[in-house]
Amino acid sequence: MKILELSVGGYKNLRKTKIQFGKSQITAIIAPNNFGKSNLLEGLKFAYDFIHSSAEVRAVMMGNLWAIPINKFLEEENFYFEVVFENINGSTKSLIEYSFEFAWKKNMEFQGSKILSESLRVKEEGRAKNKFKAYLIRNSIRSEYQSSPSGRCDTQVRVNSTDLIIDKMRMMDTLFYGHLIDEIYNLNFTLPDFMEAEGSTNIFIGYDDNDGRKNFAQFIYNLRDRENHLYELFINSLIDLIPNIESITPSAFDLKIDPKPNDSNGIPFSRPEKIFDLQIKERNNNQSTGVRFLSKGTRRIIMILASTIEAVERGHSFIAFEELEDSIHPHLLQRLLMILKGLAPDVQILISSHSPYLVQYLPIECVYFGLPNDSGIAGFSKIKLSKHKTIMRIASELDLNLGDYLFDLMSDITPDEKFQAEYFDSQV
Amino acid sequence: MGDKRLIVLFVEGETEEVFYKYLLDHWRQIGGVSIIETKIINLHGIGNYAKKSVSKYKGEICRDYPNCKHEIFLAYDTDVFELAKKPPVDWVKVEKELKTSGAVSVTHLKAEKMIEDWLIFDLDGICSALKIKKPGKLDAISGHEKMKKLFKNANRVYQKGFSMKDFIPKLSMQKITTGVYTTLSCLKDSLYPKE
Repeated sequence: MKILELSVGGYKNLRKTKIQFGKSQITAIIAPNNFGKSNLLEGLKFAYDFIHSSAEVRAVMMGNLWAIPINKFLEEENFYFEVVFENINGSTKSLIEYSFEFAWKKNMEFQGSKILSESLRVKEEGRAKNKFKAYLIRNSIRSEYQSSPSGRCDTQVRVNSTDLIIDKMRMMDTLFYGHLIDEIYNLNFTLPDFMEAEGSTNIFIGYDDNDGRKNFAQFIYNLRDRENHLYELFINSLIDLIPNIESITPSAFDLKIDPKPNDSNGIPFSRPEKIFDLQIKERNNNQSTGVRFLSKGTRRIIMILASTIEAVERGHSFIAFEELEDSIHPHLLQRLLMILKGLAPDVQILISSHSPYLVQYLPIECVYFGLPNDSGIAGFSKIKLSKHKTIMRIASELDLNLGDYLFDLMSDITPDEKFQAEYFDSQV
Repeated sequence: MGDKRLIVLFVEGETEEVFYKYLLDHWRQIGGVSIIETKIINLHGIGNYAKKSVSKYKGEICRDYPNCKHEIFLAYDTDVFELAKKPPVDWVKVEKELKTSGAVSVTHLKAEKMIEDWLIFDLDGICSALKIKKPGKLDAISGHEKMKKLFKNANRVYQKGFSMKDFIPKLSMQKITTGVYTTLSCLKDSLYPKE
């Protein structure tokens, strides 16, 4: 499944924003600090979590104090999410558009904490009239779906205010587009949080992750047995980026002193007590060392690569990185982008960035700008197609790389609506 | 300026730098005739190509070889690589600035589509260097895509401009130059002393 567009809005200070993934596979959002880049990524994660949650959890999510918009200009805004993806079923290629909207918790209880709308539309390529066809419509007036291939979207369905209709459709064995509902549920999203690694190696070494703690060393250790080709890709990519590293060996140490499970004592379940680490042999060192002796930048590269490989192994369709360039030398950025694309050819990658060195490598149509405004609202837009050549020409004339020029342009952008309207696509 | 000639080759990345070095060595070995002095200058990294090439030309070439006729070759791909630095190089501007700075001639060495389309002429050498079996069929539209597939077979990610530099010494320049004889002939012809 290939995601083509994601839209989210009504989350913290985020206005409805549509991100279209072009052929490039890597898309960037750039904006000053505290603008709302993280809110865009978190909003998408929130939407994914909402789909995968029970009705009870959704009720709680709709009252999430961290997420409810309190910006004066967005306080009445509902949360909105939409995904457009491509599906290939046999010889049929379709575009699928799914969306939902809910009202946040309100002081007047009856007004909030309820799903207001939901929609599923499908467009099959090669059809005579190539339009989207509604398979599911939900609004304040109706909740209906199409139950048979030759029918219309008029079969009523009863649904509670915290249920999504797709929850019910998922239970219908004979639904002719059940595979599309499965695809929506299979949408999965990786948003690695590397904050924990700042000054700490706990994210690398640690106990068996049955206790739920993230542990990169264990992931890489198990990858070697589970998916050796992904493991080899990971190792080779890391050595390509850090040529001082000669070898990386994931290691595990069993702390158990009790009898092993295959002994005759017959314990029904032996709780694992392994601790994992990565042993790194650097070219000029006379011995291997653990991951805690690596630089912050190298550890970050390991985390980026491992997170990407994990997304591939789990079949995730989308991964996002905040400030990919953090702690990474500018000369490595182009290689890192190539490696990410090569490791995860079927995964859409969204990055937030403060680095002109990184942005200069991306096609201009894959960069979204946070446009300043006086209302404190986060909205992101692309430069108009008609302005691409102008931008390139000016950058060339000024002897600037594209990244430097775009960041200069961003610092010059005022909340001048006329200028923004001239240069940028209108926001959703 | 004397009669002595100097060939200067400006390239864009590590792959090209190593390729042309080995290419020149190959011609040197098989030529039987001393080829004239050549300098390869890699303009990789952050910075503007036009400015950098002129700066390097004036700062290094003109300084170190003041009494030579400088014949410049600009080596680049004709196809745009998606993750290449932007904006793309204005080669006409580069040529103009180098001629204004004193270059006797500027010739464009264009790799039709990308240098990978040249390197793939030695498919056996690439597979041997990657320690993989030669595929029966390599279905891809360009040399770059073929290279990506070959590297993937070796559990590696191909990185344009970087990945091949360690492999080029293991490739057959004979096979590659046979494949792109027409494009490289202008460079080869320039390497021999003119009567």
